[in-house]
Amino acid sequence: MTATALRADGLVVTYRADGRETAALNGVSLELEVGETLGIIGESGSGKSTLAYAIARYLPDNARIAAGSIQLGGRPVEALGGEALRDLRRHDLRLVYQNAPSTLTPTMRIGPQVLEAVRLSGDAKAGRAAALDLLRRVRLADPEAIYRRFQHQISGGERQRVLIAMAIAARPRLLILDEPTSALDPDNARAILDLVGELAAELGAAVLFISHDIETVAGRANRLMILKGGEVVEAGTTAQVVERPQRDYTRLLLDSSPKRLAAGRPRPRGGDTTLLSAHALTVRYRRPGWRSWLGMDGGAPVIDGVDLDVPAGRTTAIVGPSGSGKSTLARALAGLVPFTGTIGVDGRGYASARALDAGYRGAVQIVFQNPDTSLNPRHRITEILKRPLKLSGLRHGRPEIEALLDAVRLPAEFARRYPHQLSGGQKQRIAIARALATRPKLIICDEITSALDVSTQAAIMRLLLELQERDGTALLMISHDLDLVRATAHRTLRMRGGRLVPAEA
Amino acid sequence: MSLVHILRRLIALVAILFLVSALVFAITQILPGNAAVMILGQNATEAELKALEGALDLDQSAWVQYGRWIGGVLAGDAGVSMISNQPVMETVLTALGRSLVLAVIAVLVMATVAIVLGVTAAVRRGRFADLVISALTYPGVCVPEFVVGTLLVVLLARPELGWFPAGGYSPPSAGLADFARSIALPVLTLTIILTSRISRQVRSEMIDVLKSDYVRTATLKGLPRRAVLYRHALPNAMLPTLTILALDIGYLIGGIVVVEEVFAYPGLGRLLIFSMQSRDLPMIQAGVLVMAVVYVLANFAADLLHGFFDPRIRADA
Amino acid sequence: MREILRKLARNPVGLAGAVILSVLALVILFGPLLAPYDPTGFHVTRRLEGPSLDFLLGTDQFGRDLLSRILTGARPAILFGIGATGLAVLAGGSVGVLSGYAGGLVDEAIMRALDVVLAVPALLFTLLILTLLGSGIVNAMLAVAISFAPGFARLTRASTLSIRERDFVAAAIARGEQHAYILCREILPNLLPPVVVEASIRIAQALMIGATLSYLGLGAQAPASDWGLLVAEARDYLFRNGWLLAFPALAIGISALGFNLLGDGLRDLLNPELDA
Repeated sequence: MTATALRADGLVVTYRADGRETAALNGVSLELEVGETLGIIGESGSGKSTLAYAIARYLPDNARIAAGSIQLGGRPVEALGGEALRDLRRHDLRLVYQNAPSTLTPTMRIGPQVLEAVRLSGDAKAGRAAALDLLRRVRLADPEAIYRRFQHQISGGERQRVLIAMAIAARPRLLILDEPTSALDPDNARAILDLVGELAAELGAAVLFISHDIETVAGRANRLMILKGGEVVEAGTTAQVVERPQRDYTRLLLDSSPKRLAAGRPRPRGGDTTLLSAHALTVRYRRPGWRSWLGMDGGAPVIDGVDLDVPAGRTTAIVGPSGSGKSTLARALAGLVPFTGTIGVDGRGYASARALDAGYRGAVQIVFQNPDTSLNPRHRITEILKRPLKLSGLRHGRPEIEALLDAVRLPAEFARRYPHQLSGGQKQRIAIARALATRPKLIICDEITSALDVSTQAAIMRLLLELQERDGTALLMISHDLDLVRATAHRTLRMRGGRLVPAEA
Repeated sequence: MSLVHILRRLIALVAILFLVSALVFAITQILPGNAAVMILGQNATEAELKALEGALDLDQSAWVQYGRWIGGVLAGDAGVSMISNQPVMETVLTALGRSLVLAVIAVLVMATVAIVLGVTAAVRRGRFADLVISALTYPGVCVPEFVVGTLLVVLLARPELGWFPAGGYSPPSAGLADFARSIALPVLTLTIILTSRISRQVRSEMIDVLKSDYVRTATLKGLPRRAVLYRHALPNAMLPTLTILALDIGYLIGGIVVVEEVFAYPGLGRLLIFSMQSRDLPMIQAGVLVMAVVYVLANFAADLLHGFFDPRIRADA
Repeated sequence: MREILRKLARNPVGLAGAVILSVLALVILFGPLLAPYDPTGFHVTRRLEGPSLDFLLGTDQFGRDLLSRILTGARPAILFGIGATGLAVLAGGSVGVLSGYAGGLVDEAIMRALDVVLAVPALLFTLLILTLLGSGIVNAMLAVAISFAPGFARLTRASTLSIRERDFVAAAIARGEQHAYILCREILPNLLPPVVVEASIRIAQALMIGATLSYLGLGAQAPASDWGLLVAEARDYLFRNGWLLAFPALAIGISALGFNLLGDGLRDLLNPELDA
């Protein structure tokens, strides 16, 4: 076995769509030694996933390896097929990809699926014990129970561990990780990555770690490679790339990390006035069926007696694990879900969602997480921006719309476009422009950067902070990204189980 | 799948059946304003109408009429045919039996062929086999049953050839060979149309499954293609297919009505058409109700099967 | 809109459908004018002939020109399909949208009612309504529309429910839009794709059911040139002139094919989830 576990030379992968052939990878070369971890960083469209699937030889029907070679342990594999490819999969190469609800077969129990992997890669007659053993190795709490369960009965973190168990059953020489923890919360993610690191070291496997998160990968890789538009932008040891980046794009990625955003945090302005104050805010689950029709609300509370003061002109952040109710809180304050309790703004009190009047809705705006679904795909940008202006009785002609576009740094001619003609970051800017239309005093940001690329995230946050600096708008940031929050918020509150936990500055 | 689950479904089933019977009754007896008008037609005289109304107790309130009818049905008596004066239930059930022969054979043949064709087309998507199968099944979706049936008559029932009769029915008691020949063309018509529809849907489901993450996981383990198909893909494609099959039984029932008319096959469909043309009210009511019951029961059975095979329902309920 | 047409041009299935439909449109508009003979005119000396130079598709038992009859029958057949489906979309579709948007008790009640109606097999329901209304092509169209409506109601309800959850609807609620605006300007435009696809395929079905009803004697009545009637009349002369069956069958098949192809093509277009 040669020391080079993986080697790719001038890899070109093309996709055929709409009668045209486009290159997703344009001459990518890399080399990976045994026992090494190579981190591949790229944003969406960089081709990083294509690289993973090209090496694993699982490209979709309309894609092909147009040029270049891939060698695993000295053996060319780019043209392998049939039994040889299956053999490769059973013993040499495994891919662990992003966690999703459908990565395990729904109609089979977990145990038999793991056992299948064991039998394929090792002893064809292996029994239950071997599978249970693997489940133990990935530190699953109750292997016997998991063995009997179906995939819809286990959590995301457990599912990812099962996938890892199946991967190491092959004792592979090369392990490819494609965004393995993007869908998990930070604690779970760290645990999973630690686990993988240990197992890889035990097996002496080479690891290809593909992600968009340069911070996380840098902490675990020997060498880094930056990918953009299907080409290698920069490569070197981790220390070299992170401390002495040679290319602008690399610097952009590094600068987009939340830690560097802190420099842009505006100084708190306007004294210490409280803009919005909520008391005993409670939102309950709707009981399904006939009970809710009869007005018998009173399911379990999603948020329970929340008292919140939002100061004017500053950024307040609310963090918490998923299920803590922070998104529901945002929606309640935006008047999207029925609540009990009171909200006070500008000296006026509101005791229910229905009571929220035009004055409130003009002063308090919300921007949502996913720019793809927060803009109506059948409306032009003009219409999207015109509505809030019109509803507040403001002028809504061309100059006003162009002014909004200018405020979010988009060209005036975007007004005529439809959302699908814009990128994710541009759509989110439109969503922000829409929120700005009524000159709100408070903008609620509900995870607004989670669905965006790292560099875009940073750009959007910088835009918001600039707007805060210029207009004195208060921001209520809901997020699960602690780094981002630490860098941008003046005050952070935690939520857990529907309640606010005592604050930390 | 808990007993409670099944029980709840059963109660819903019974409720729906009652409501359906009310709907059928309303359309045929209540809505026309006066069933006597329906039976005798627009040109009947006052005297004729009055006589009929008296004889049929049509001057009672709608609820009483319905109650009397449904009570009779539940006791096995659906009245007497206005045309033949024979008990309706007996006639309807005999006819049902003959229709069921067609239906069951057609479904069995169709299910096997459609699944094989659909899976093959999906697995070989875009390649020659897929194109051929698609080309063969498309016409079946664009041509109504009466056309297919009549075409089969022209092609295979020529008197000179004597292969198959152009219509009619030969009971099994008169010889199995003749029986088989008399049901062959009706069954073939139904099968051709249903197979075309269902195989296209199976193909569509299978393609979705083959693109799924779990098929990817199974393949990347190094599992041979065939094992991936049978152990991981097929079971998941079959679940929605079952639902489709259940819904298409409604389509099958419509097809049977037409096919029986084309081939003069004495099943429930033909009986219904005849009853509608001759305005035999009790027969229409009982016939439609029986068909609806069969449909609802078939859907219920499919529902139970689906719940049995879907681990999400089986494990949790 | 222009983009959709451009993509349709590149999709072979949809393109084929569009081509067929364009031909059909011409036939609908100019059919009776294109017919070489009067469809009801007898040519007693030329009865039950196959295709010839005088009578391109042959003649029937009364010596009527088959081509003329088919061309004349095109308009009612296709308009039947479009009319029945259009009515069903309007009636059923709006009920579904309102039900999905309103939610709660209203929604439940409507869904249960739909369940009961859908428990009667479609053709059976159509026949029942026809016994209530009486035979005739207009009644047949109404009957088919009524039996299609629940299906569209379910479709629009499901789509409305899913669209209602999207953030752009939440954004509209958050800025205080009225219900009418949200329904008409936010939700409705996004309902069009699935409805259009389903409607295309249903038109094909309605066309076939219309022909079936005429065949059964419950739709168009003689001496109309209805395609279903043509097949019914051909039944007695099948072995003497098989063309009497073949050409009407072809007419029905091609028309249905056109709408089915268009529907499939549109579905591929509007769901860009092809490969990868």
